[in-house]
Amino acid sequence: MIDTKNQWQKGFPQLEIQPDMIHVWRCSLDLPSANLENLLGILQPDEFERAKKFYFEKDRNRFIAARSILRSILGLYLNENPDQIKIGYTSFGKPVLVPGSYFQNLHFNLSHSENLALLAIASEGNVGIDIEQIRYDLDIEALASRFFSKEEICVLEKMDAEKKKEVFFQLWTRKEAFLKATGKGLSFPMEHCDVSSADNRNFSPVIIPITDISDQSNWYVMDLEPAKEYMAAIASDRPNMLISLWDYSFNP
Amino acid sequence: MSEEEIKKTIFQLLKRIAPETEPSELMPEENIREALNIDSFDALQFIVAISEKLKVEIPEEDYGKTTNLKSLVSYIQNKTK
Repeated sequence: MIDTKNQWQKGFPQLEIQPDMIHVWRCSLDLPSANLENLLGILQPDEFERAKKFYFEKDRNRFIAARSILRSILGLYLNENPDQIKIGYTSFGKPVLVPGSYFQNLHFNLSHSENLALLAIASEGNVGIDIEQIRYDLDIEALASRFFSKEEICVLEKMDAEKKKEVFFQLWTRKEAFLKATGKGLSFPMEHCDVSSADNRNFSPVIIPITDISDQSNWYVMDLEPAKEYMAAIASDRPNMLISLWDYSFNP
Repeated sequence: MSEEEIKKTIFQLLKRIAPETEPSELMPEENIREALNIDSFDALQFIVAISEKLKVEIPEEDYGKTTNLKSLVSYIQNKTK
């Protein structure tokens, strides 16, 4: 459930996150170039190497901004300098805080698309988030027939052409948020999970064949409204989490 | 299908989803998604295109075996033998 009517708030929440809460931060990634120079010092060597590999400067700068903002926000919660935050990776590549490094374990997940990033932070439960800017160059029929469940394809087929794109991206972000929350990413057969019945008011269950998730967890997904022309969703393994939405102004 | 033919098709398909990049400059063991900054949509569009063009289905559990040019070519060669 969203704690206010899906409104993004300025300022800062209480930085001790209650067990039933998820904080979602919305951040712009297009920062002035002077700021970007300062940010390079926050990145760790592996992030620096990754940044160097981007083909386009715009993508490199957004990656640098996203990682720096992630470190800065985590630093606020953990009372630690951004460059000291210890981020590791699970065997499936999901970024996590290195276990045992902090008095308080935080679960986080970051997603960015074009110039907008969303970061979800919780003190309890796994969390996944996805944001996508609506694109008009995708063959959505081909993608849906390969990666959507029957129920999702059914929902899509009922839409007129204009609405179809929007609904496709909404379904897609729900699925990606779920896959990111499980930590399995694209290695999970996307068409096996059904998220056709979620909405933007409450967490709804993700329907998964029992055989597909070995740990038998239940997963829940909810839509977010990040900005015009963007779709987003958040997933958790806790059904009744309260979400608060925050706008982050970056001042390195 | 020869290694060169497979590579040529891969480059064509990558160029279609990342038109401003030069897929032919990929190093054999470089991570394709990272090098060309391919997001999850484009990665999955690429998987669909491979299946249409080369008639090779890459199931989810094999994505990890096709992350660079060398492993992808070898995967396709094995599947088209």
